[in-house]
Parts: sequence; C-alpha cells; structure tokens
Amino acid sequence: MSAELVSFSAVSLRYRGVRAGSWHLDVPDFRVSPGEIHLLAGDNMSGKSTFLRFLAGMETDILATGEIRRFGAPVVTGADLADLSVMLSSEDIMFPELSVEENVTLGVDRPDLTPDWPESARKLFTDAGVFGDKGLKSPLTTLSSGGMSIVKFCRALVSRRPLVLMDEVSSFLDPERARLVLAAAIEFARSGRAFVIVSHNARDREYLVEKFPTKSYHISRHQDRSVLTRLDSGNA
Amino acid sequence: MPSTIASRRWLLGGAVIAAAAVTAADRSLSFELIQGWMANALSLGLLALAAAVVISAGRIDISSGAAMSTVGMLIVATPAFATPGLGATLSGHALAALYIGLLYLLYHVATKAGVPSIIATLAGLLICKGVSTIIQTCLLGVGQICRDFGTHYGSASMLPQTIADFLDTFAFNLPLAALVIGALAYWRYRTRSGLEHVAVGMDEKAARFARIDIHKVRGIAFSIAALLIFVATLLRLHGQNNGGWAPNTGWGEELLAIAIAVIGGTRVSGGYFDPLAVGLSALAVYVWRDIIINDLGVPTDATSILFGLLLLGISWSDLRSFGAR
Repeated sequence: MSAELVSFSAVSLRYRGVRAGSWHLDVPDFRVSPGEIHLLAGDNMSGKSTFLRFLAGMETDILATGEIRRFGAPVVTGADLADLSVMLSSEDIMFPELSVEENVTLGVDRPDLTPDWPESARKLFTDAGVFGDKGLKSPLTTLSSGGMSIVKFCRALVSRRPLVLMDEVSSFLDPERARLVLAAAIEFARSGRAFVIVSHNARDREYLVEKFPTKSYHISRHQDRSVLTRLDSGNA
Repeated sequence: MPSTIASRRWLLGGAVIAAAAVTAADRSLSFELIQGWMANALSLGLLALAAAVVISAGRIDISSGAAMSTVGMLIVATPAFATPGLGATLSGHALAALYIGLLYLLYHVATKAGVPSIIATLAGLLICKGVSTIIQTCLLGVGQICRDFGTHYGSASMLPQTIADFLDTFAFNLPLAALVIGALAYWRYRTRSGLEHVAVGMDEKAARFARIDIHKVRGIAFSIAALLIFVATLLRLHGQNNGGWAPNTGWGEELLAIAIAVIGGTRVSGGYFDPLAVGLSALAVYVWRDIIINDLGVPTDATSILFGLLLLGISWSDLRSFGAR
C-alpha cells in the first residue's frame, strides 16, 4: 500500500450535467502524504472550494480524467474518497439548534471517534474560551461565528480520519484563536495527520509557512479553465 | 430537548386534562368514553407520527390516508379472491404489508432521484385511490377492468371486517401507545440515527458536510412511516366496527395527520420531531373535536374552521419560537 493518502497525476476535473462547461480544473501533480500540510490559494471562482469538496468525495457532478489514487489504489469516482477525510468549510453553518456536543459528533462517524473525546474537545474549548455555562451541552446558536469555527475544528480533533480539509475555517477567528487552531493543526500534522488548507488570509498563511514545512499551491483561472500550480518546490 | 418542545408537551397534556375536566363537569366522563377516545385517537396518532417522521426529515407525505384505505382493502378483499380461511387472511395481510412497503420504497427512490416528495406522494395518493376503487368494483362485479376479464365475485356493498374486540380496549391501546411513542422517543433522542434524522431535516447542506448519508436517513423515515400506517390500518380495520371497510376509508386523513403533527411541534420545514408531543396532539385534537361537535353541538363545518384557524395560529407561533430556517 502506498504511503500517499491521495495522489493526482495529469488530472482534469470538470462538471457534467447542467453545469457542464462552467468550470474546468487541471491538476498536473498533487500528492498528499501523512504528516503534510498543503496550503491552497487562488483567484476567486478558480475552484478551490470545489476542488476541496471533490477531495472530500462530496462532488458527484464532477467528471475526472487522468489518474487519481488513494493509498496507491485507483479511484473510480470522487465518492471513493469520501471516508478518507474530515471536511471543515466556511460554507458549512452546521446545526445551530443542536448542542455543541451533537454538532461535533455528527461530523464524525462513531468508529472514527478518538478515545480521548470529549476531554480533548473540552480542553480546546477551554483554551479558546468559547464556552457558556452549559459546556458541551450549550446550543451552538449561543456561540459567535468564531466559537462555531472552533467547534467545527473540533470535528477534526476528535476524528481518526487521516486527512483534514479546511476551507477558510480560521478566517473568522481573531489572531489569538486563529493561532490556537493552526498550532493544533501543526501538532496533528506532526502526529501523522495530513491537511489541505484553503486560505486567503495572509496572517494564517504566513503563520503556517513559518512554523511548518508547508507545501503551497495556487489555483489560477483564465476564462473557464483553472490550473493548480505548486509554488514552492523547495520548501518541503 | 429544546424548551419549546417541553412546553408544547405541557400545553398539549393540559389540553387533554382540560377536555377531561369539561366532560367530567358535564357528568358524561366514564371509563368507556376514555377508552373510546384512546382507541380512536391511537390510529389517528399513528398516522400523525408517520407524517411527523417524514416531515422532520425534510419531506412530506400526503398519501397516508389513501395508503391506509388500500392496505385495508387488500386485507379484506384477498379472502374473496381465494379460498377463505386462515391462509387467505394471512396472505391478505402479507400482501398489504408488501404493498405499503413497495409504495414507500417507490417514494424513497423517486425523491432520491429528485422528484419533490409532494409530487411523489401525490402520485401515490392517486395510485392508492385507483387501486382501492378497482378492488371494490371487482368485488361488486362492476367496473370496466373486471367486466373485461369476466370476473364476478359477489354483490356486497361493504367488505366485511374481522373484528377483534380487544383492540379497542384500554388494556391493549395504552401499552401499544406507550411502546410506539417510547420506541420512537428512544430512537430520536438516544440514537445517532435519530440525531442524523433531525439534522437532515434542519439543514441538508450542513448534513452533507457532516457526511451524513442523507438518502439512508430518508429511507429509514419512509420505512418507519410505512410501518406506522400499516399498524394504524390494522387497528382501524380490526378494532373498530364501523360498518365495513370501504374504498374511501381514510381518504383525507393525511391532511388531518399533518395538522396534528404540526400542532405536536413538528416543524414543517423539518428538523423538529417529538413523538410524545405528537401523540398528545392526536389525543387532544380528537378529544376536543369530539367535545366541540358532540357535546357542545357545534356544526362540523364550523369546527373545521376553528381547527384551521388554530393550526394557522400555532404555525405562526412556531415560526417565532422554532425559526423558519
């Protein structure tokens, strides 16, 4: 079995069905191994979030050509990637009417739940100072958007899945809490988890690049065609 | 459990107690009357629970009444098409269970493919009405389909029901109601499946990000609804001697079931489901309709207007407390 969690070689992604022709992404070479952090940036509407959703196995309307592998085995459809990752997205407003505990555990299949749940979550929330008096039982709606981002990140904290996909999750956080989340991500990466992070936020990007041998990419768009390009071949 | 649901339980429980108090003041409250209320409200409550389960997963079912009619028709008609006896009776029940299972599987497949649930279940409603009517006309030896095949089974205007008296008793209905409501409450509040169920109803997009299998959740919801409707039909068919099962028995009750589900705190846009509140709602609605129509002598049409206004008011109030999301 390959050490690479997922690899893309000469891959071309495009929509089929009613959205056919609206977007096209070329991924010449993209490989994610355990313990790595990959940082994606790019133009608006270039398809960063769509690429992340494809990696998460959530995009069923995308047709892929080229070679995609998961642990070295060929991937037939994007859905084959679904149980590889935890997806944390700014598009996801979660379930404000449910409790913090329910929101965290809903995002993680029970077999994937780490044994240190819920203590690890309590510690993160305490460190981030996001809780009311009901602790994990607090309704999510009582938290600010920053607090909700911490709850979202907690799904990665308590999951055993090897890949964490983060789409602008730290952007809602103040500098102190953003550093807390990113430092936790670096800690996870050191323990073998892999991260693919989309961020426009210069503060977060600089922090990651400074603290960890991050691999950086840019997705540029020209008309309806986007290309994923590696920026720092020497940093890793 | 949200405080809004807890307060709804208290409100509906209070409505039932108030109804009993009003009847007691009239000196007409008796054990037999309460037993009758329970028996009638139970089958209605099961239909309402079926509606609530589907609605809380973000779908709607407007066919439960018509489905009840066809399930009953299949059960009572099968012995007429076979040698009467235990085998034919059991075959009728098995056929009816298969029918409603396949019907709700069809809803699941159609809605999974993108057909709106209101359209899928409207199609089911029309199918059920057609099937019920065809069965009746074939039994009577009239109607185009049976005439073409030269079939004539008799001339009964109503299909005979097999009545089991114990189905109408308090001793049977109370434990059954407790079992059904208890099982659904356990599923809703104590299992991951129940949590995923309301999560899908709350926000389908967020559920996708949480990697919840949305189709599986809705498949379970349709399966539970089919089972509840089947049990409701058995209670109505074998428990209440209403002069024979007719093709239109149950028609229109789907709307009443949806109304009871909403009064019981089920948010129409999905995400809220409390089995106890829905059960209490069924009992409160049945009992108060009985009192208003039979004891106070208010005409049925006027009662319907009152009920409609009440439903509108409660839905309006729920928008403020549950959110419209």
